[in-house]
Amino acid sequence: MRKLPLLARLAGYRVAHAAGGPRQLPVNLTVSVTYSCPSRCATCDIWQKKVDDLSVDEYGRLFPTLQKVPVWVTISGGDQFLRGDLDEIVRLIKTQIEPSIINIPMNGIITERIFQLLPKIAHHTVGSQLVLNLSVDEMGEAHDRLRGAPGNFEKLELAAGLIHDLKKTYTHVVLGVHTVISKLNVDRIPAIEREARAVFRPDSYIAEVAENRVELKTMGKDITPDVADFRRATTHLGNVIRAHRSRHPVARLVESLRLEYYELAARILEENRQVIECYAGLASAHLAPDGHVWGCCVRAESMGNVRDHAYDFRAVWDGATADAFRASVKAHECACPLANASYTNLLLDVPSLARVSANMVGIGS
Amino acid sequence: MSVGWRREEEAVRRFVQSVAAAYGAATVLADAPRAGDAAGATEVRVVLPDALAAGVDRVDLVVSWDAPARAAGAAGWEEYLAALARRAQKALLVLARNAERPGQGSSPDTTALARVLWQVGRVRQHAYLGLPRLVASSDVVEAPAGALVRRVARIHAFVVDTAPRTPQARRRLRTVAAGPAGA
Repeated sequence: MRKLPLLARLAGYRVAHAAGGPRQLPVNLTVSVTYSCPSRCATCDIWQKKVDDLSVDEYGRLFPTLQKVPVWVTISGGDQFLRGDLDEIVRLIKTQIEPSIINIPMNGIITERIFQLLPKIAHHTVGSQLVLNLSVDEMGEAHDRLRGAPGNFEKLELAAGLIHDLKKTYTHVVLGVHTVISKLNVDRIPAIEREARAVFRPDSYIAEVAENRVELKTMGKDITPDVADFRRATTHLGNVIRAHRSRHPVARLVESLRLEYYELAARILEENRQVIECYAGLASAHLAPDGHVWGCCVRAESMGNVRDHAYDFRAVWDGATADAFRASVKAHECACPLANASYTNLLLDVPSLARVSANMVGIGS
Repeated sequence: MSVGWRREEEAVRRFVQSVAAAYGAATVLADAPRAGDAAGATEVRVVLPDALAAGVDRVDLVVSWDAPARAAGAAGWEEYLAALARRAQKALLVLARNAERPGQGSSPDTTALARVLWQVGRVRQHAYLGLPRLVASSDVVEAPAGALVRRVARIHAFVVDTAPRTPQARRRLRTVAAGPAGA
C-alpha cells in the first residue's frame, strides 16, 4: 500500500479538525507495552498499575488495522525491556506499520535484557530511524535517588556504550538523552545538560516538563516546576541547541521541534490554555498495554478497547466515544504541554511549522 | 604490485596488529595468510578455513579474511563465522570486502554482516581500511563514516568482542566455572 505524503495527511487532519471531515488514522502513535517498571521515580507511579498486557499475537492482529498510517511510533512503558518479547513487538511494528521513526525511551536498568534485545531491535528497524532516548534526570547517585533505582546511572552508561557500538554497524540508530524537568531538578538543568552530554555523547539532548498525568498516576503530585524556573531552564536548553546543531537530519528535526516545543510548553504553563490547537485523538493516539485506545496519556480516557472490537483499531477510532473526546479537546476543555502530542500539533500549526522548517535549514532563531 | 594495493596490505597488517595488541592476544588463529600477519609478540597460526571452523581448542583472537566469499557455499558464511566466534576467547576480527563499493561482487552488506556478528558477540569496532590518500589521510577510518569513505573503501573490518557482554553474564560465567554451590 502506497503511503499518503505526510503534508497531504497533515492537511487532512486540519480539515477534519475544522469541519469534521473524513477521519484519518493517527500519524503519531504511542504504543505502551507494559506499566510494570523496576524504577520508583519521584515523578511517576505508573509501576503501581497492573493490567493484562497485549500479547505479541494480539499486536499481530491489531497493527495491520492501522493501515501503515503512523509515521512516528513511540514504544513506551513502564519499562519495555521487562518484556522478553519486545524485539518481536518492534519487528511487527516495523513490518506491519512501517513507520519512518521508531522511538524508544529507556531507563537502561535491565542491562542483560537490553544487551540481548537491542541488537535484534536495531536489525529489525533497518529502513526506519530508531531513536533510543536514555532517561537521565540527574547525574550519578542523585539520578539513582530521583529514579528510586540504585545503580541506575552506572547501567545507563553501559546502555549508552552499547548504543554507540550499535551505531557503528546500524547507521539508522540515534542516541538521545531525555530529562524530565521537575521541581526536583529544575535549578540544575544547565549542569545536568552539560554533564549528560559529556558522559553519554548523545546525538540529541531533549527535555520535557513533569506534569500531572492520569497515565502516570501523578495527578496529586506537586512535581511541575514553577513557570519562571521552567523558562530559565528551557532558555538555556534553547541556547545550547542553537550553539550545537546536530548534523544528523532526524536529530536536527527533533532539535528544531524542541525549540518550538520549549516555547510552547512555557506558554501553556503560563497561560493554562491551548496556545495552538491540539490534535490529540485525531492526529496522535496512545495504545495502552491492555488494549485501551486513548487520545492522549494525560487524560488517559478510553475511547474503547481493541479487544472488544476484534483488534480493529479503526472500529475504536471511529466510535462515538472517540468523537466525544475529540469534541472536548476541540472545545479547549484541556491544556497540557505533553511533548509527544505537541510535536504533531506544531507540525499542524502553520506558523509553527514554518518556524520549524526555517530552523531546520538554518534560517531564523 | 601497485602503490594502492601495498597501502591496503599495510593497512590490514597494522590493523590486525593493533587489534591483537588491544586484546592482549597471546594466541591468534587466522584463516588466510593475509589475515594472519599479527606479527610482534603474538603467536600466529594460519590454518585452512575448514580446519579452523571444525576445531575445538580456543584461542584469544581469531582473524578471518573475506569469510563470506571464501566459506564453503554461499549460504555457509553465517555458520562459518559463528563457528569462528566459538573458538575466540577474547575477540573475532572479520575482514571483508566492502559491499557498498561498486563492483565488489556478492559480498553481504554491513547490515547482513552485522546481524550475524551481533549474534555471536558485541561489535566493538567497525572500520574502513586502505583508503586512497585523496579520500583519507589515515589508513583506518572508523564507522560511522561518511558516504565517500563507504563508497570507496575496498575492505572493512569488524572487531567482535566474544567475551561475556554484561556484568551479569560475567558473574554467571564465574559462578558456572566455580561449580555447583556447596560442591
